[in-house]
Amino acid sequence: MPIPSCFPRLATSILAASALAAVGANPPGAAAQSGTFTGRQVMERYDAQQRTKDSEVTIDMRVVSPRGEVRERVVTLWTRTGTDGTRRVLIRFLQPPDLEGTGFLHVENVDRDDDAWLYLPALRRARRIAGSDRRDAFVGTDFSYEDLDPEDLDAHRYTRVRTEDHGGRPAWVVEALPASPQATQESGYARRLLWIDQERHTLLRADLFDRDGALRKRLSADDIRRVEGSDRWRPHRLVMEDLTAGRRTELLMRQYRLDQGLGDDLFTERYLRRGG
Amino acid sequence: MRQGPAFLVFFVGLGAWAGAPALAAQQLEWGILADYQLVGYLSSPDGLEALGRNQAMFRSDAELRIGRWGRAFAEIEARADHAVTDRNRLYVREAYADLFLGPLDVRVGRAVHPWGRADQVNPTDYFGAWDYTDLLDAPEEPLGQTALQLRWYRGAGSVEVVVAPRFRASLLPAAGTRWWPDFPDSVRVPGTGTSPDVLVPAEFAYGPVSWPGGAGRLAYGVRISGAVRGWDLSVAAYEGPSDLPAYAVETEFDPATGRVSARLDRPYYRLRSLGADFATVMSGVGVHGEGAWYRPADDPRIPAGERLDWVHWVLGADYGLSGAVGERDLFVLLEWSRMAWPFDEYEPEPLDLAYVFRNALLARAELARVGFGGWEMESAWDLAEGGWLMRFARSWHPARGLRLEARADLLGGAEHSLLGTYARNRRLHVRLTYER
Repeated sequence: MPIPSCFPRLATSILAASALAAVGANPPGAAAQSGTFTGRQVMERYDAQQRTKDSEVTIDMRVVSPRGEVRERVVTLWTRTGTDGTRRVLIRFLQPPDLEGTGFLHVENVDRDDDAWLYLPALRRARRIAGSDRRDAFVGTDFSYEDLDPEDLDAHRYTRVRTEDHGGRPAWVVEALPASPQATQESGYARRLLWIDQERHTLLRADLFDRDGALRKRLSADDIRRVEGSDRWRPHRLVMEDLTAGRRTELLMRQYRLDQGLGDDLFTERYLRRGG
Repeated sequence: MRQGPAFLVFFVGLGAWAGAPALAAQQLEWGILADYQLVGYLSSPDGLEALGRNQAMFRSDAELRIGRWGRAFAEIEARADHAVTDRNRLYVREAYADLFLGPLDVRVGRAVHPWGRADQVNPTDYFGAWDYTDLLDAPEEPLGQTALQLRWYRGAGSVEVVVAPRFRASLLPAAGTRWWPDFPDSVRVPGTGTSPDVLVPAEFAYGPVSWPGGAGRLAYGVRISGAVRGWDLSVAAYEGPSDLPAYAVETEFDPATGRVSARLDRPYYRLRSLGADFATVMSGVGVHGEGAWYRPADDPRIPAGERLDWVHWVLGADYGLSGAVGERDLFVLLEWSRMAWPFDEYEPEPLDLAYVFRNALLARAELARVGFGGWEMESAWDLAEGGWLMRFARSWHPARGLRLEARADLLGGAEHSLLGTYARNRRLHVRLTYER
């Protein structure tokens, strides 16, 4: 089995990344003030609500090619954010059979490059692997690692462009542009339009424009429900359409568990082998 | 390799345990793999009429997790080789129980304990034993050791101890099969006085397997591992038997028949070894190394009273260019294996597998689309003796859980090299696997 060198970027998990839709309850009275929010303020609320200390979710992935071929994967993903803001991610593949038991561990570092290991059950060995580009596809889906990253508020300029109803929910539409040459270089997108639910502060939709300014991908988040035992809202279905390639990826989230008090020891080679 | 009923009892027990309603916290998962291989050889040497070696295989595994404090795992294999019946077996690949006791993991039973961070050759894989009854299939056939494993963790570090009371050696090709080497049909008998050397008809046969006395087959080792600022590091120590025998040929001339009987004795010997390995990433390229120093005891190749240690190391680099597990995973790897070997005069027997990697380059390239299949290329170049191996494979996933693979295994090179010896075993291989 090949070594998926791009795994590292996973650091920015799907969870935080489902980010694109993760949000909590709105503070009382916020809706009344919502008409005055700037794009930045909208995104601050979105960001504040999406972050958790730790999380666990099992995800069913379906990738549909333009020819109708369907590939399916099932992964369980654990994340933890440390007190210093660094993130740790552990992923376990449950399906398909040729990937079952494959594990990926990513540990973010403040003062040096991140660490990443891949566990290959056929070899029974964990192997240190190199990092990846944010623009690479995430485990063969239409999501890039960038799509799954938590929103980096300081790396973008946000402008609230309008408000509109989206699928029966009042939403702000926010334009996000890279704020620096470095951010421009690292991102695969020259521009993003984000539909943020005004009440739940979840992401409802995102239109992603490539460097030529063309609409490249569209993300839809739905089946947004409050996570059991938590005040957080999470999308339970994400669909990313690659409008250029004609492909589509559907993620179905199940068994969300947030803020369970996961320890750092879960994010070690021991559990990479053991499988969480 | 045929197993007694003990392992079946283990399986039945595992199932019964899983079914016990009182233990509701248990979680039982199981899987199966059915595999059929059509192997067609490109030549048929004398005495080996079969041009094919078709094989059916079935594996089933079960894993029982008991809360957060333990699990049991077992995998059985049934293999039927239509051409080489010696390879037929009903076999327990692994059967072990794990206990998770705070920072300590305990594993008891038959399990594979792979040590080392190199990819193709692992000098510190002391407990590694393989099924070499078909050399080209060996990488897929690790043999477990029945052992006690203790692994204590602290942060990113761990200390691992493995004790195997009866070390299991690798399985070697049976006489009369394609991987049994062509021994010469005559040997040179030195002349006496002024009479010249003469060639005498000879017959080669396996002699008995022998194990060293004293601690015999007891094997134990310790490995300390950790990660320090982007470097994975380990040191290891081992004492126990060799996994391959030191071949020794005993000849006996029978004046009555005028023939020489050459007996290929297979004495295993004990080793002490210290090893270390590392892995890191430099500018996106994975770099790893692994080496070990060996001190043999009772090695019949070493003259009495002499001590000849040797060193084996592997250096490698790998690079991945991909969309991660999935779309187009490209992985390339290059390794150099080298032994600082004291017996320059020693000519390894054709079955002496340990010496293929005395000075060898190994390469591997894979391009895969998980769920759809991919391409693989592997090669090994024996720089010391001039042998080579090239393997090309293409795989498809026509349906969920189904995998079809076509493979060409080509080997050759200098006749006296191990890989050259087996040039007759070039083959084409079609394999259909169902897994769920």
